[in-house]
Amino acid sequence: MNGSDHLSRTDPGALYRELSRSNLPATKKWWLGVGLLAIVALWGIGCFVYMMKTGMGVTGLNRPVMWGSFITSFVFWIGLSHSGTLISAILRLTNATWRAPILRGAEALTAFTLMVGGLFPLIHIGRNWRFYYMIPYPNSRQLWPNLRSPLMWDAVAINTYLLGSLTFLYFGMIPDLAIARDHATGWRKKFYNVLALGFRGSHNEWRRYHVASTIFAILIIPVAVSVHSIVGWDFAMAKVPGWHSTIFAPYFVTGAIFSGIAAVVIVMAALRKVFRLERVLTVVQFENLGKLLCTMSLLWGYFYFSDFLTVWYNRNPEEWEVFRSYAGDYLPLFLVMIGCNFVVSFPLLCMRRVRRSIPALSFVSLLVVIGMYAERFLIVVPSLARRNDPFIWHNYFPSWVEFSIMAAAFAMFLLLYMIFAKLFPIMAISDVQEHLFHTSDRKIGDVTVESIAMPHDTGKGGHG
Amino acid sequence: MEIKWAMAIDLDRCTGCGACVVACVAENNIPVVGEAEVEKGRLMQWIRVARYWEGEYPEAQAVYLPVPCMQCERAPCETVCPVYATYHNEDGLNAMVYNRCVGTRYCANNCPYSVRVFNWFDHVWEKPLDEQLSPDLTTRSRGVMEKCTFCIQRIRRAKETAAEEGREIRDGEAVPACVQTCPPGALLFGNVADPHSEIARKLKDPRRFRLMEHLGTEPRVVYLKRQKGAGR
Amino acid sequence: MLHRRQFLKLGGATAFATLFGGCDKMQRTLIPFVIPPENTTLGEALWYASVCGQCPAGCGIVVRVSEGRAKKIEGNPRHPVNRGRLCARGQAALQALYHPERLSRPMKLSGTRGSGTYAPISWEEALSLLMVPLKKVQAEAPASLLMLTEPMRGHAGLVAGRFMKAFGSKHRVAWDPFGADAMLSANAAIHGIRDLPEHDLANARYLLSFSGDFLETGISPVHYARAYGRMRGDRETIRGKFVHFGPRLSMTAAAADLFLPCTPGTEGIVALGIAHVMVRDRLTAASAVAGRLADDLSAYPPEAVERLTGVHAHDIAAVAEEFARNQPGIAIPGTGAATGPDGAFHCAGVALLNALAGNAGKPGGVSFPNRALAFARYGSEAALLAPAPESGYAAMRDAIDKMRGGAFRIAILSGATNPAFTLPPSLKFSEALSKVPFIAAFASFLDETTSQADLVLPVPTALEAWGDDLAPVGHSGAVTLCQPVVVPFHDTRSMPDVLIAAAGELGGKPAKALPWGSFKECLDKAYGGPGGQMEIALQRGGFFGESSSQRSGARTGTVAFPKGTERPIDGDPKAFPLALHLYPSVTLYDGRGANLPWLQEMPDPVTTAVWRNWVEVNPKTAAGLGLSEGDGVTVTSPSGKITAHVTFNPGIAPDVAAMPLGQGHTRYGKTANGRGENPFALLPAGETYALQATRVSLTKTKLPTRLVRFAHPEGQWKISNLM
Repeated sequence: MNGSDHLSRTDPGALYRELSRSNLPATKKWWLGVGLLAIVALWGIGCFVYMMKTGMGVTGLNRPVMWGSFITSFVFWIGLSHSGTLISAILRLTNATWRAPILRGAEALTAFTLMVGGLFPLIHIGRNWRFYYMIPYPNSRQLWPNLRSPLMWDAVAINTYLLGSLTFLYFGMIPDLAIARDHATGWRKKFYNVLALGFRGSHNEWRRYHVASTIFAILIIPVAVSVHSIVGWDFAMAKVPGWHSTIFAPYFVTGAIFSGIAAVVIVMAALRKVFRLERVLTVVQFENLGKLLCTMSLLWGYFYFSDFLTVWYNRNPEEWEVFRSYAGDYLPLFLVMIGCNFVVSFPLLCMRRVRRSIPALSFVSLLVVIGMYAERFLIVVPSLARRNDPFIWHNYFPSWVEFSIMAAAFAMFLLLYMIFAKLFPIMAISDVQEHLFHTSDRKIGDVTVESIAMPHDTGKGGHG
Repeated sequence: MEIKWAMAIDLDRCTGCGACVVACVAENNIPVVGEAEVEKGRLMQWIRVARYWEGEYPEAQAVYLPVPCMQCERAPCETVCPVYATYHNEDGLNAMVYNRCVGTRYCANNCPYSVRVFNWFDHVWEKPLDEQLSPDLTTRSRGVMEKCTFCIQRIRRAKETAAEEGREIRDGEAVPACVQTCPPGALLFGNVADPHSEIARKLKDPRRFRLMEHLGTEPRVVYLKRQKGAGR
Repeated sequence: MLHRRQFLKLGGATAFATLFGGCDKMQRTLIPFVIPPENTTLGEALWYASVCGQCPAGCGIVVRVSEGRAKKIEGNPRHPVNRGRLCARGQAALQALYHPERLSRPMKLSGTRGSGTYAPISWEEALSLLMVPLKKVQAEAPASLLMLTEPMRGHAGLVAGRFMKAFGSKHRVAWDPFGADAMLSANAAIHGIRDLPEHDLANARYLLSFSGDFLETGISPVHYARAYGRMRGDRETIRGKFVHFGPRLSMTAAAADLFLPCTPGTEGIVALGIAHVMVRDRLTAASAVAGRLADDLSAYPPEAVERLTGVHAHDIAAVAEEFARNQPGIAIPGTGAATGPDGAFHCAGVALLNALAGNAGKPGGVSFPNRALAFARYGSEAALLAPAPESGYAAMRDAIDKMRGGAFRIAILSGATNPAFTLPPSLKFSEALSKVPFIAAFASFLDETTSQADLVLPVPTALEAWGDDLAPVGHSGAVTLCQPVVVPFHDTRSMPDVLIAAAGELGGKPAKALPWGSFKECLDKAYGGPGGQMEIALQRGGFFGESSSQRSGARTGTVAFPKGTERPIDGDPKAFPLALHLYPSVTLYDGRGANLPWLQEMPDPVTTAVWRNWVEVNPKTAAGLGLSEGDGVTVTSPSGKITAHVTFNPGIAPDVAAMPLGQGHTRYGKTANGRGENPFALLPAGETYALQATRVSLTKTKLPTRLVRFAHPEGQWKISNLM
């Protein structure tokens, strides 16, 4: 590591060492963290087994609230997944120059949130051991899943998105795995050797790589949009007051991206802090993410307002009861949601000082994540708790089993992420390199700044 | 003969006595869940007699509304089930296949009448109370959705008897347990496809309405409004 | 390496193990298909007719029996009382049959008395334990035998009555907490017949109910519910109108077109106010009666009635006119009116309206069935077979006094009316009972009364025993037959059987009075025996004569104007601001249903509460007392104190607190125990038996329990969202 305050342009080995600090041998702290998370995760798995053995009655669910914390968590986690692949694809396509340091972290976020989120429908169903009835496998009774059910659309969309995201993540990582292979020693060398699929960085390989990644990026965007649209449709298709709304699909996508960006900010801030990546993850990345977050907050507020306005104006009693419960039993949660997602966070995000302060932005992002969890809960639960027939109204509060499983989901996600960061290049080294290649340092007075103008060789722009 | 089962619930006759509830419990092996579970909103009874209040003292009134499964013609529960565990049978009823059900509970969410109940636990009948269990239908295991079937086992029994005797099923021969027992005769059941049946006549009553008709579910349960005054 | 042969061997062994491992879970007792037990065809259900024993209404039932087990109870479609219909309580009788806590064999006390610890014994030992004191007492002081039962009808009543008479004791007490004493004496005064009339609701155009509970727990709820349904909807152009007066919006009141709340214990005054208007405005058909009553009625102008009852004068006038103009009209008193301290007066006031309307003996009016027809051949003994549905309170008080004085050496207990639970504790029944040296109880369950016995003799339920019955209303002299629909599930013997056996052993007069080998033989002799008409009757469920000519109208010549007696309600209105209105629970009746889970879990029709009792108050009253829904309160009367949870009834008079009876058991098994406290504890030990006899105060109390209601407290007001 050189002493300068920016990344090395000339020494790929140094760059690799700096960007792959997460891959250093595991420390005690790391093991401690993994251990704690594993305990929480195992506790949650134990709770799940207990629930499976005893029955769904160990949750707080009831009639009419047949869906509760598990579906809330499902929507929340699938929402978080919209950060990574979607953003990274958009940034790739728009060739946003600041994107490089956040690509890998965001894509990994997608993969793991999807994995965790995808578990929830399975946790949620009453006879988990019969989940395969939902898979279209040939059987003697010639029974097939019902593709009219939005749950089947979900299953298809999420599986597609998960496979796509994993491929996207892995594909984008190949050049970095090649770099890692070139620099690593011991078992890691063998490990990366296999995974790099013989990528040598030849001109041809790079050309194909770029074409393919562009195609991937183009293809993954509609998938991502469709996934959360379909999650929205799980609700919007139902005859449930408060769910049955045309706005749900775009609103869910917006909310998903909103929470996703917030999650990216938090993960990036954590990576930056833990692996001392201050020189690669600079204020620029955070400010840009902050701007995105600000936009999404505004968009979210707009969607929420327009949904609210139509119901309020229309005063259809069935829907109005749901909204009325926001001012009643669900008021605390409603205030949390509105505050975290808009009233507090939007003005803060409008401030340049907040956007440029990493702790402040992380804090706002945390608020957004909390607010979005509350929002998911408020979408799922009050609509059911205030069903069409007011006689059977019933409130819902998650049980300790549900809280355990929700906590275990977080633990499982963090665990996966930690292990991933330990094993794989968490920074998109080749993209950073590419970015560095495109830019140069320029001294203005005492400050060294990055410049896209080439001071030495102006005739040579870009690569390949 | 074409069969289209339907039920009429005459609110002018219903007294809210709850005989239908116990009849249903007895007929369909419905478990007792206990006080704590009822408090959690997990009563398993397939038919409920909703009691609504209206007005203030001294004009306060109680309105009884028995709510079984509406056996909708366009049943919202059926489309959303990912595994076809609930489907439309040949008589136009919404049938449940318990052993196909995986327990997504989407059907219950999509039922605007909230008549579906879920087996939150494996229910036990303390011995020897299990001696009473009807052999005509199973008890349901945990994780499975269930609901009113219009006592499909009683319908089948009547159909089989009719078939054995080589005749068509008679009006009033097949009735669900709730209809059979209803002391004031508020519940009526029959085949509306048969123009001579009592139900077909009853359904022409101008008092008829269907619950949440605006939702387009086309329920097979038709209510007859409560009347006021002496004349008809 | 695994060789082919080894593999085959292992595979074979595994398959064998799997096969026979599976066998382990198979049914061990198979019903032989070649020679099945009698009446058992696999997969085929049989229906047997019998009679329901869950309340005194005497509905006919048919029981579905499959492979030797009763599966479901339905109403007997042929039975004149209920015509195929049955209420919740009747259907739940199945759970009594297969109840886990049902007594399966005779038991003798093994701990201290009242401890409820018993040791199982054989029937031989049990009978000898019973016979030793019986023989001794018969020899020494036959009058010191007490038989305390629920009202017994049919030949069971005959056996019990003859046994006691032949034994030489006249202390046979039949107790029914909801006996119709007041109605009987009112009908004697107004109609000249001390009996319960048939109110022909089905053909009435106008129905006046005074605290009526005929749809829920009255004398014959299923019978009247069916008639009510017909009154509403069976006629092409007529829909009978229903007006209800009463202190509380009960399930029956909810069915009314017009519910007019009145102060509790003023029902008869309202009726007299209506009668006043009818006579004043010459609206009555029975002008002779009207003329004689005009003077007496002048004391009840609607304005005066309004002051006493809280019912508006113009409502009284309007109802009177409607009632008179819409004949046939009918007035029906309910348990609430009949069980006040002045019940006979209130019921007489109501009966007077029927007399004024001149509807006696007419369709849509009141008529008295000829009960004597059913058991005419028994002459003076006929009253044993068809006793008047009285509470037996006076005899009960007398018996308690005598027990306390040590007059009895043996007490034989039987029946579901459970006096230790259904009598006001201030009467000290249990304490008095403990003075009796030997107590034998015929019972299916241990309850507050039977758990004081020294010897417990398990009896078959109504579904396992022979018997006959005569319903109090709706029968026109029909006799219902009762047969074992299943082989007795436990080692039980019915009380008449044991009495017949005991009489045989006692010899002498008792043996002569009960000359049969068994109760079945007694019934066979009475009804023509097997092969005779009894066999057909058993298939149908009884002897149901189809002639309505057996009904008689009332003699209206003897109308005596009801006189209110000054029996004030217990408690100073200042210290006890609310009148206590006790009513039989729709689900548990007098408490006998409290051990049946189906009934505990059936939401109460008015409050939708389950598994616990409550005190109903008007929301405004509650607000004044600082009580919110579900709060725990202590209900204090001058005679006692209990706790309960408050629930709101928007249709209850503001100065009333109402409680259902039936919960509050302490020794009735785990389903019934600990579900609130017993409201009978609030009642004073009055001269007459009265449920509406005291005032109470409510004070907020913290309770460890919660009242569970099915309805959402806010949602239950929002029917407009639905319609």
